[in-house]
Amino acid sequence: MGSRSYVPTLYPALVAGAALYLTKEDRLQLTVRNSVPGVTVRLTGRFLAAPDTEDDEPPHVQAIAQELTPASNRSSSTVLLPLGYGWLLNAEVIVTAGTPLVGQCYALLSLVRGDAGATLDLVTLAAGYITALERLATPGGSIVSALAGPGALRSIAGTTPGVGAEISESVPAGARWELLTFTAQFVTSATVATRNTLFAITDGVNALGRYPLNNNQAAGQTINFSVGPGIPLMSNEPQQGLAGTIPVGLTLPAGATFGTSTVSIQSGDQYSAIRYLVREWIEGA
Amino acid sequence: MTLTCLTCGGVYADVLPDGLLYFHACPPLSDSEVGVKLGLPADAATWSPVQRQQVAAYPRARSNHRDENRPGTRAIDHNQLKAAGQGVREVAS
Repeated sequence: MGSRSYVPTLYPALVAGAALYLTKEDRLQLTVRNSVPGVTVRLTGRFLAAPDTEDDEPPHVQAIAQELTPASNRSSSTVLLPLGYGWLLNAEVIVTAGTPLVGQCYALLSLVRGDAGATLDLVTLAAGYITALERLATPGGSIVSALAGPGALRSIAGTTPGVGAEISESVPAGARWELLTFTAQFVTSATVATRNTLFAITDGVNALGRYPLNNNQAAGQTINFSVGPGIPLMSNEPQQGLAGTIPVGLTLPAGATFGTSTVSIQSGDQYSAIRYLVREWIEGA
Repeated sequence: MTLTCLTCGGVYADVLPDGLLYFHACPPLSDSEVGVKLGLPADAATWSPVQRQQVAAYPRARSNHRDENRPGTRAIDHNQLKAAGQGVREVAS
């Protein structure tokens, strides 16, 4: 017999809602963007293989199983699975190692044509955050934006800057952060001057906001300050702690920075104990 | 591991307690660092109005700065840094 392929008609019909018929050129593609080290993702499913020729065995269901260890810096990790002629009956994606939270491991399952580097995206089957408990599935799954949902809460210790330098923290590539609270300590040297700290936000180049703390901090003082959305500026007793405000719902894209800009900062002044709480989503360009 | 940035002197942990990677980026120059570069007195309070204008006009981008963030989220960006700067040194524990 020749190598002509045929489509048996007694099996999943080619109608809307039926299993997806695939050709040899089609690939099941799993793309993952993840921020947590040690994560392994498993793609499983069932595929009803069609005979390639009339002499081949009757259609039979095969199990699909493919693992992917995604990068942990939010860059894309992809695996392509060629299945041959037949019907994709169902597929699902779940985390089998690691403990990512919602907001930290985003999976997108699609059908493409071609091989790595030269694929044509044909259809998105399902997309959303996955964890060890929350799966992505098709059919029946939905396509959920990576920016949807509650995000992941993260407490982050920032860089302690060099002496006389400012604080500057940046939103990493592939992330979107909502800044919920920020705290640091400022110790001034013996050099006589009145320092005033501003909480500065930039898009990475341009200033977006500068919010004064009015600390009026003299030489030889230690002040702990906290910044948060909607907090009124309070500085009656700065030695007991200082509170400053930033806009409510301050959401920053990758590359944006936040930190200090200090009027009359001296070369012996030192910021330290930098810690902040953010709500994080995966955001890919 | 705790690291010191050899460009800016910042100290940070490259892996945070929650296991996630931390990407250090050098801060822009502070007024006091600009004063040092311009050879001004250490005490900023003694700067003249002209010197203050010099400081205000000085470019704040740190030369040879380090930025450990990835240039993007494509697979080819996986092992790339935006800017390596002068590198890092491990802080003895």
